[in-house]
Amino acid sequence: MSKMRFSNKRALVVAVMLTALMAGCARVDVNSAKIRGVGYVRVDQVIKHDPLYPQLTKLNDAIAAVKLQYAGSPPPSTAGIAAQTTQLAQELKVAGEQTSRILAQTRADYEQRERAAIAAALAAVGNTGAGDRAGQSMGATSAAQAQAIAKQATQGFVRYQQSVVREDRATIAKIAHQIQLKAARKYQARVMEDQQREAQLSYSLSKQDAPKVVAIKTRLSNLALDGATKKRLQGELKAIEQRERAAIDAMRNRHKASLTAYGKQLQARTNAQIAQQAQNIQRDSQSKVAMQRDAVLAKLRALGPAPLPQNLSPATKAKIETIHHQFTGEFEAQAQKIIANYDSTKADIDRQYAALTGANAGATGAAGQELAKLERRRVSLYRQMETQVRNDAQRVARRLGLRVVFQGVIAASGGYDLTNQVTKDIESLNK
Amino acid sequence: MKTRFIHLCLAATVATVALTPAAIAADLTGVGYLNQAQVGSLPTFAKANTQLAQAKAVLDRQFVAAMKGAKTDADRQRVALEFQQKFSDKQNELMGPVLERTQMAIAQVAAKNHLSIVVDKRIVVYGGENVTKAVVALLSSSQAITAPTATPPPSEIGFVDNNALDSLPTVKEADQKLSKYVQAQRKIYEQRFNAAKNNAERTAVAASYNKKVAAKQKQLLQPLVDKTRSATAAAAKKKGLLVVIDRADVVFGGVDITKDVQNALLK
Repeated sequence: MSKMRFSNKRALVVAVMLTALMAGCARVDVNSAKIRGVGYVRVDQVIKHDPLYPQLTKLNDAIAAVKLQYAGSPPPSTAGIAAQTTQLAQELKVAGEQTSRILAQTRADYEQRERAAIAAALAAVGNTGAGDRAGQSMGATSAAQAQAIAKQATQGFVRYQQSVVREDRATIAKIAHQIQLKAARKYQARVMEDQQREAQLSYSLSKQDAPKVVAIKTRLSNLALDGATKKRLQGELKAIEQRERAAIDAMRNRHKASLTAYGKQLQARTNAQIAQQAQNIQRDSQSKVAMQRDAVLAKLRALGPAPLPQNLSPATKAKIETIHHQFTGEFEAQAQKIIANYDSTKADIDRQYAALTGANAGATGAAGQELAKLERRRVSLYRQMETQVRNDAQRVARRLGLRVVFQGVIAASGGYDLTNQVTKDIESLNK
Repeated sequence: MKTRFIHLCLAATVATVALTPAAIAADLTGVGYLNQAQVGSLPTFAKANTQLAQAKAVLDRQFVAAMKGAKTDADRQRVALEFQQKFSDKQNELMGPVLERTQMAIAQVAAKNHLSIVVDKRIVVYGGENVTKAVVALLSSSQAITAPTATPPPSEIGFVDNNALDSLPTVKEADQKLSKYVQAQRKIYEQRFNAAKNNAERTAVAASYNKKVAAKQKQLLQPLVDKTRSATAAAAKKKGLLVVIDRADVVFGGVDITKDVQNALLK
């Protein structure tokens, strides 16, 4: 009697299940004129429910971060920076040499004109050997001019030294910032990789256990289940969850330990790199300052004072003095213009150098490479998710008996939209 | 016992109906797909591509020299147009015969297999008929390929040219607005990014920037996307099409409803 009742109950369950299945199929009549065996899935929408989607968002943010950091033109490569720096240094050298040449030429020109003026003045008062005296007089002119040039050269040298120190400090700070940033990005990338691996493990474990979990849950939903079986099944379910959690926790702990070690290693490397860069910059600067000092000293030595003429009358001396002052003044004014021109060129080159070693210092093309790497990872991750969606859609399509399923559909006035069903499948895997 | 028998019969009937719907599916005209990358890697394509690249290198050098000689903006524009035309002519000369032969091969395979549309492999998730092997075999043979005599049955799959729809004034205007907005936001967020003290702050700035741009994109473009989608669906319904795809994904056949959608959107 009880056997008969049990048999009836089973038959009833089968009938209920089949009715439900039939009801489900009745909702999706793939043979209808409106569907005609054609289905479609909106992959972009389904992907938003994929467990790996947060990783994709993070990658998008990382890509935006790199783009924000290096907005505008792409950062130059190491070779590019080196070439441009060499070119700027060359331009500065040429400008310096040109300035010295113009100064020397101007000086010679004024000397000649002053000598001629003094010779004429001496000849006017009947003084013989005017040329010699004029030459001697020029010594006095040169001494005064030398003083002015020496003063300017010394001031220029001090200004140069200060600007080098300032540039050094700024460059070191910027390079240090860039190195630290690069290290931080590497660290962040490692964190993301670890998180991705954890998410993937979680995903693959859920996927692997999904049939078992679904089977247990289906059995648990049976109202006729006795207490002991129910408890056993709940235990099995819990054990699966615990096993999954333990595997993920183990991976997380491994990642944590390796991340700590990596962080320390990265910090040490960063500090060493900064110290090395600072040392290089200071060494270069010291050599630049020394070169400039030598150039100034050479210029000062060349401007050494000559002895003053002794055998001239006070009136002639006064006249020569007037001529001398006139030419000295003119030369100084001209020299100021030449030096100002040089200063302007140098400032322009300095600006270019600062731009080169400033915003993009330390980038050395790494940003471009990093961007490409992030884009590649993004494409790879998207493809992985897309494949999952396509596989799920294929399964659903096979079950429903569709003849063809598209993705990338712009609009539809018929066909069967698989998006919701595939989304549910993906979400159930996520759960 | 009798009840069980009835239940079993019912179960068998339901299972047959539920599990084999394809057996009684309405007759859909054939959909084929082609792996365009595989066809593109055939020696004839590779040769034509190499020749085109060489021709482009020569034209590029000539273009640079011509641009140096151009003194006014009008001259430069004229030179640019001239070289664009030269390149286009060369492209037609080198690729035209290859593409024509390929198109003919696809048409022949489609006709032979009674396919009304052939699309790119990438957009077919399930089903359809892979014609790549047949097309490659036909292209690799030395035989002359002629146009098929039988025309394929009309397709239930339509397509629109997205590029043409993107050039509609409303879409262009929205694109320009978005572009200006992105530029302005970029400047603001560059400053915020540079002012950020640590990596966490910088990541937050980048995430906020992405969100803001995405929100604006949704605000400006989503209404247009929705409008286009409903206009496309309406045009498809009028022509008895089931789904509409992008022209770029269509290799052969299908029904072009671009004009219908354009007209509907311009109303």
